[in-house]
Amino acid sequence: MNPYIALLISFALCAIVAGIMCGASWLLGPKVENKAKSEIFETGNPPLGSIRGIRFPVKFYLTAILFVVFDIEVVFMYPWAVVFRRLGWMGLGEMAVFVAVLAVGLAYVWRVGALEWD
Amino acid sequence: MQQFADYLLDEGILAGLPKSLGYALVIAFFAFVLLNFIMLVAGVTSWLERRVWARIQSRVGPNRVGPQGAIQWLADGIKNIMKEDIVPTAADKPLFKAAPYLAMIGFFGAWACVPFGDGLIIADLNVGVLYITAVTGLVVVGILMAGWSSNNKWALLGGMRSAAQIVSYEIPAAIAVNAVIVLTGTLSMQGIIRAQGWAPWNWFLFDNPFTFVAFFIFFVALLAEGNRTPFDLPEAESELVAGAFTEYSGLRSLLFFLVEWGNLYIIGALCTSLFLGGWQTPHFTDNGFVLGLVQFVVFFLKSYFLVFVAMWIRATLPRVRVDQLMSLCWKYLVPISFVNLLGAMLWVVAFPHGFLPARLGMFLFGIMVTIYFLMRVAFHLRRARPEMSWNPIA
Amino acid sequence: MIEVVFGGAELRAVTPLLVVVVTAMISLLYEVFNEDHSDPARPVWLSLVGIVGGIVATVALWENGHSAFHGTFALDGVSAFTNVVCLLAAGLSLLMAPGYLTSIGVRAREFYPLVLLAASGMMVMGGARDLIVLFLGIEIMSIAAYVLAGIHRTDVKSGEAALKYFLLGAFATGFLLYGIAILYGATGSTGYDAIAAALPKASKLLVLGGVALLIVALGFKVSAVPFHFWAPDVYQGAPTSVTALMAVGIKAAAVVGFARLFIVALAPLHQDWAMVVWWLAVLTMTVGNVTAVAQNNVKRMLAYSSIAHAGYLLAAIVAGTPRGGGAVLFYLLAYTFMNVGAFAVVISLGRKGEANEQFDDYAGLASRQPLIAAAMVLFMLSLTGIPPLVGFVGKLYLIEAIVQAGYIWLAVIMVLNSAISAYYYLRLIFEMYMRDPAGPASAMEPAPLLIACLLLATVGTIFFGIFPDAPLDFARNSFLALR
Repeated sequence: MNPYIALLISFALCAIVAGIMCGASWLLGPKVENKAKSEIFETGNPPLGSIRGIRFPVKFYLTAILFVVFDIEVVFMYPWAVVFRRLGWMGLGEMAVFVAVLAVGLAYVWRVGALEWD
Repeated sequence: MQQFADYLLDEGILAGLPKSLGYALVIAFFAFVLLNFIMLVAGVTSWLERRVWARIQSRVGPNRVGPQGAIQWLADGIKNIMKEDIVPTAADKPLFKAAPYLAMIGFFGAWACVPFGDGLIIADLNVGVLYITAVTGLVVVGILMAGWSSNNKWALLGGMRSAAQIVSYEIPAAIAVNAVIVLTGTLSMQGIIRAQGWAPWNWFLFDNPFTFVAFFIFFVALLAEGNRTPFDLPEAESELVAGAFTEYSGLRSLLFFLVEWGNLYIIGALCTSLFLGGWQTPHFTDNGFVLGLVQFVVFFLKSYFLVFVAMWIRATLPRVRVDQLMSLCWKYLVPISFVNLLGAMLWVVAFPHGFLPARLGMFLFGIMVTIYFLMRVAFHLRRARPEMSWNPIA
Repeated sequence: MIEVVFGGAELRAVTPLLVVVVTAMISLLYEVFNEDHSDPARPVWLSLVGIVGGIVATVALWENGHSAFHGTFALDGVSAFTNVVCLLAAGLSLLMAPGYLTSIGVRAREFYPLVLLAASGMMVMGGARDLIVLFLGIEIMSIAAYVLAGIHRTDVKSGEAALKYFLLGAFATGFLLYGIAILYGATGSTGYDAIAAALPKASKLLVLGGVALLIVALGFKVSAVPFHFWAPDVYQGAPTSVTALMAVGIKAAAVVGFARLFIVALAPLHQDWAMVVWWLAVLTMTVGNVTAVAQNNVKRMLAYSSIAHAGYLLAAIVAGTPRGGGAVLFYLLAYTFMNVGAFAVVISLGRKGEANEQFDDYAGLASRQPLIAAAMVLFMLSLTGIPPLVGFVGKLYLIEAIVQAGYIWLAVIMVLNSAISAYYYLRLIFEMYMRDPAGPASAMEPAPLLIACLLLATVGTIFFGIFPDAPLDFARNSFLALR
């Protein structure tokens, strides 16, 4: 039995059940059109402009880049960790070098202030 | 599950059907059962959590619907289904409607890989841990999509915060898992559980000091990934209304809450499988059904204990600030987990077959820490409320 | 049991790289943790240690026929020569950097480690005997180069250069990966030797498709026409010391990668790709030269001239012979000295806030700064190909290799192009010596390190023009040893 087919079936089932629930809500729930109701909620004030095209703090972008950098390195660790027992000291040394390079990167971004949120 | 499917195909109700169709039906059946189980767990958790907080904060909590309010969650669910599904005119409608599904699928995908017992798993992937890490990423996409498509400033801020937080904490979590993987040499959830034993000193939690540390890193990181207090900034009610879900109403918001409370259980289940011996029980009977049931109960109790700890934390600790959140991850957890990983590797190279004295020592250490902690708790409770009643439902 | 391949051969192969990369990391940490920035030249010394160490390690460890990591990487003659050329280019651009960066107001301390990292990428490209390793080298080099191009953050032009370079570079990387994938699909391997062995039996259509994509990608990196459109803007916009590195080091690494791939791995297909590269070379040199004639900005003129030189180099690759490869290597060495020298002169004329890069700014330079003007004359003559300078020898052997392989017309076109190029190179000399200065004399004295850089470039230009035998024989032999 291929486990990935099982996953596919589960995904489909999950989507179907969620869809049925939403459908039930659509059938059972009231549908009253109201201009004020379909406005976006800004704590009671009339909504002010759209969020499309607004500028967002660059720190979120920075976090995303850092995530990409570090997470890719971590993904490299998984296959290595799986075969680690067969690599022995050699694997330990190589991973130490790998982590050292990462640590240099982390020290750098830390020092230049990329980890400061404010 | 494989055996069950074979049994049904050979002599059960599915006899005569083509094999692949039969398997598909069995999987679909189990997936459906799991889905209902999730809703039950998430619902009961939502009620229990409110009761536990109430208890800890000297309040009463929901106690009207059913005995002790035990079916409050059902009432909430029905109420939500009966509510109107409002889509703001300014929202990006297709994305707005698709977001809950995406979060739901990502979260159910993780459940499909949770081993409830020896054969009780929908899909035992050989890359299980990696798969769970990957598929829970879909929840981030769902939340970010919800935040963006709502066209609401609160929602966008909440979505962005949520994404930043989840992706940041993904890194220490993923590194901490490696401390276990170097021990087992497999990524399969069942393989990791089978490499442990029923006795606590055979759990990976107590295998060596580094897995002990890894457990706490992993648990904290998962709490943050699940947007749990003290890391619940994405939907910080006092700042952002309801975060990414501000514009959602009725059933769609219910789906998001389902994901949130279901994720709580996933946190417990993952920690249990990786560090606390999973479903491992002594082989006390040859009756497969009874054994499976006991395994399921053991697994469930272990994971639910961690869920309870998460509730406890939520009721106790205040919310952190964004900068504290980020510096906790990048300046503490990430470096610690790097060092911890190197230590774990060193341990495996030094003791390829484990080191029993260290395990027993770690176990005793764990017990001592727990006892000391409980003593402190009892001490403070007695000092704060001498007249307190210990009856949980009074 | 998994066999971990890490023996003497592997250590030998990576030692020069390790020296450079470790220095880069030490230098990076030193830059960010050191609070004292009073002396802008201090980081240069640390980086130069890495450069010199890399050269020494290369010279000490290279060996013809060497291969490591299952034959994917080698420190043989070709890669040793490339290492030396690229490290020279990096070292020279480091020498010209500190004074220049201070004068344009760049305080980014990451400059020096980035140059070293770019150099290490070039070294990987030079030694690559596998398409994946080639890709790895290109990426290591390019990512550092993208950042370097934009290191003058407050300058709009620098930002434009970085973004343009990055977007087009990413696009070229896509072509490269598709080419690798198709070639892998056709031959079942990414190793050069295995590809060469599998080519006769492989599907011709697939192979040619893959080769076409690889030509596009590598053509972008060597800035061959028609994939050159990024080059003038990027060269002009990037800080001049970075431009020197890009025009020399990156081009050298890309050309060697090109040569190794086509002369070694795709040798059985020579008949097929030669025609394409022939046209590429002719177009590149002609368009580069003709456009350079029309330029009024010296930096932009040098950018177009660098495109033209890429054409000359490609022409020798068309020959497809070890002799051609050897001539390419030697020409890269020659080009390093004369072109870096020219950029160093451009830097030495810049003043705070003014680039002084127009031809008019050079008017009457001979009377203001006779020594620098004389050096510029030397570099211009060498770029034109006037004996006894190194540019002449290099071009001579390029043409010899082309003629020997039977591409007479290509040689004729190349000579004609050299004649065109004489116009704009000599025009600069004319400006410097025959015209009166337009404005007041330049007050800025070149920094000592810049003088050292100019001196090195001058000495190299003259010395290897008179005694070209040693590097030339080395280059030829190392390509012969590849076969």
